[in-house]
Amino acid sequence: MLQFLKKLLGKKTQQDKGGSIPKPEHPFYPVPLELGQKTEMLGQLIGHSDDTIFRRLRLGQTNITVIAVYVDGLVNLGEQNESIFKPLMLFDNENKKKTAAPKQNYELIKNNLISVGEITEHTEMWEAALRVLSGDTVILLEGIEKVLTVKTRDLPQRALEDPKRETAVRGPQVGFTELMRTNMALVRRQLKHPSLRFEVLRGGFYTNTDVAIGYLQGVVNPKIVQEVRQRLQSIMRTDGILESGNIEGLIEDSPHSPFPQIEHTERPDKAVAHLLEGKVIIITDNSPFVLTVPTLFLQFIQASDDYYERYFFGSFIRLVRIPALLIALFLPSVYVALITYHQEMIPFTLILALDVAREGVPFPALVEALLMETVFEFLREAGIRLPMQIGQAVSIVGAIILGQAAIQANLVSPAMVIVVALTGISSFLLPAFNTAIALRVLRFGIILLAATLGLLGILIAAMVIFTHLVSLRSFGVPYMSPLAPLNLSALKDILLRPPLWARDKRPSIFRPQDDRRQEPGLKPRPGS
Amino acid sequence: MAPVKISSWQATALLATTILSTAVLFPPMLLAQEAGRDAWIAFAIGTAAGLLLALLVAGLSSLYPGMHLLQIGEAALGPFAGKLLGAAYLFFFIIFAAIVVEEFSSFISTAFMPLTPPEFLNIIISLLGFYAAYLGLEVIARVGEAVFLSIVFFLLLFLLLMMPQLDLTLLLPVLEDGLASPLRGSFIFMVWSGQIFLLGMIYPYLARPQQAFKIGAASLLVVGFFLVSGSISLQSLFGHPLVSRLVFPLLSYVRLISIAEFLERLEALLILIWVAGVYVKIAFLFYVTALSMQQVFGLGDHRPLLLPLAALVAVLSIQLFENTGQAMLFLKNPWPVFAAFFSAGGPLLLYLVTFFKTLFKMNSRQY
Repeated sequence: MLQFLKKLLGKKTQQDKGGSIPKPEHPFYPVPLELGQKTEMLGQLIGHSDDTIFRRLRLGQTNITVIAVYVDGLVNLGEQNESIFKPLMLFDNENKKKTAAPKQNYELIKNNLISVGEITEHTEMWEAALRVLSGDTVILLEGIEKVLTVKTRDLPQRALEDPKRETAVRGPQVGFTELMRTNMALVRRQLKHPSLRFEVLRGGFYTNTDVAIGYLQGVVNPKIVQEVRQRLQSIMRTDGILESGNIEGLIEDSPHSPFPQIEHTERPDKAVAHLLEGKVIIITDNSPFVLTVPTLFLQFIQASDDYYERYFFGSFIRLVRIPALLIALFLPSVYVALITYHQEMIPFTLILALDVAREGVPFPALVEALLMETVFEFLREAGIRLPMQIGQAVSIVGAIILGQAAIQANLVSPAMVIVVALTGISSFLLPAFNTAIALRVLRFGIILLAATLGLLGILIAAMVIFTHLVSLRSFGVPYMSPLAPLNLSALKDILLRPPLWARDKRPSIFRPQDDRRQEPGLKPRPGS
Repeated sequence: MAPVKISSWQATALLATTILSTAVLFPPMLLAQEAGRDAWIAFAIGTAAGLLLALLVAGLSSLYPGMHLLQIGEAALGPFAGKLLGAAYLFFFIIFAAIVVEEFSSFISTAFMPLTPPEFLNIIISLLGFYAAYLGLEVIARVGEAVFLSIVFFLLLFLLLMMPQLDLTLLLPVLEDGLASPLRGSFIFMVWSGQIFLLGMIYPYLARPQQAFKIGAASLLVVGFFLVSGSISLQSLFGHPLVSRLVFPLLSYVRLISIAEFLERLEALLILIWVAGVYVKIAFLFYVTALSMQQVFGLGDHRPLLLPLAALVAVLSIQLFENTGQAMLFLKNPWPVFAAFFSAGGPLLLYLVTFFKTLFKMNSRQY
């Protein structure tokens, strides 16, 4: 026993003690009374890794032993020194060397000595072990069945930056970061109301990632919150949550659908807007992307600065995005179908122009379209993976030189290049990247159908896609609402952007507990 | 899982789409052959007859809350005769679905894709119908409402765009040969307006069953509006004998639309809404057929039945007619009687049986 303790305190043990890894529904590890047993248990739970430090010290001049356990590198050493080690070691009371009851010592340390805001008591060792691994310091004392956790974590994090993916012309220019607490703070900063609630869970068997559910109590429908909680149970049983995308994959309704059923955002203001609509947000540690549920398909044509610009412009831009969505999905296939089967449908002068352009192109329209679309995908992927400076070069080489050369070499017709470019631009018009991916993948299938069945093939594809979309649900809410099932008042709010003073109700689709957004009659009346 | 419920608006849109999708295509020619200039009167009469049927079906269903037509059959006639009636309905639904599939492929191959083998079209649309029916009534209803809105929008557009070229004097003289020929024509249209009896099959899934008659009436009125106004515009555009000689008068009508020499060839839009409408109709019919099969054979789930059913319908639709002309003849002559037997006869029989049963019970209670 003593040997073992010595080894522990010498913090030199390399091999694992052979204990099995605690399961997610781990056995209960009650904190033992004796200091030695505590150290042993905590050591086993943490695993004897080289970066864990067991610091043994004395409380002031007394001979009471205190052990501080922490992981090197995750801890803010200066603060730890200032607020734990110094007060404990320099503790100086009148009746020196006199040992008080362990309980009193414990209370003394907890209440008077450690000068840190967040301090937690644990009667269960597993929780304490996880805290140590998150960068906190655990204080072990003899003779009491409790341990103290002091928040000393100083996790490596980058500074707040503007959102990389969702840039906005107008609106807050700060994005979420990798640290859950920072993200929660960013939300809280915009929503200073007691109704904002966070519940923190832990997901991932090995990663033990913190996951926070946030919602507005009294606004959100409690059934949705309950559903989210219940589905998040599954993330505890997987081995790792590296990104909110992992959670998305585990809790969405239809995993086989190409369409994303959960929206993610990098913008705190967007997350807050979702909370105000009666949705639930899921913040994942290590991920700057916050999930919001339930999600509607038409939400993906919305961007947050629609609400910050004048409402005319917001409505207009939304109406523009809908044809863009259709173009991104259907334009190449319509071109292929028209050129291949339905030449009679193209106006005469246009078909003349197209035909002259296609003269000398050796491929049928289908091959041409697939070729160009594939090249476009190559360029896009190359541009994403390369560093910014080289990425620009790739797009210049790809778009200008390759496109121009392909036309001059008569490999593709200029019309096809226009079609593909237009399709690409339209897909960039959609604020949501993950929807654009779905459209890109589906586009290839539709081109093939168009080349075999003509316009009928496109129609069939459209019908199947639409049927699939209306059959989806996101956390109990039909994905295509408010379009189907039709909900006119909510549709107005989604297709257009009504002026703020006219939005008196929250969208009824999410069945909010409190559907009043504001007092009616907020329309500005100057001079009154 | 929550029980399947569809709202009144969804039911209206679904029924209207079901009737309208094929009704805009075939009846204008068939009725023009029978009723000549007065085809629009025949449409109006047919719609009115449909309203009566909707009243009957809604009345019957309200006597048996939570039951669809075949379940009512078993409740009213007893298990044996009820099953027999159900089997007859099942047969009817299968034929019905096959006819709609055939109508689809004959239209597409005549008007649009003459080189594609029609068998292929039959199979494709059957598979599509299977897919939507497999996803359930709620999904069909949701597709239905979107399709209904686009049908209404485009049909209104077609009607409005052609307004300047109409010559209403071509409708005169009204009722030249008396009421007989419009009445004969209206019998043909009753095949379509009689399809409102499908209301009896979705009655248990209505969120507000007390609105059943309103649902039926609203969908019939929409259908009636478009057919009467469509038939008036066709007559006043083409004139009497021509309409009856065009195979698909509406298609020819839409082909004539030309605005600013730019907005032309709108028949692509017509085909679009038509295919979408027929898709909803076939999916709905598949669903109803599977539902009847489940009822007749007392099965637990109807979904495994759908794929074999789709295969059966596809084959049947290929075998049913030799060509479009034969299909037209069939639609004109035996089919109205056959369809009337099921769409109106069945509900009427059940209503009478129920009526006499309650009468008998009341009488026996008195003694």
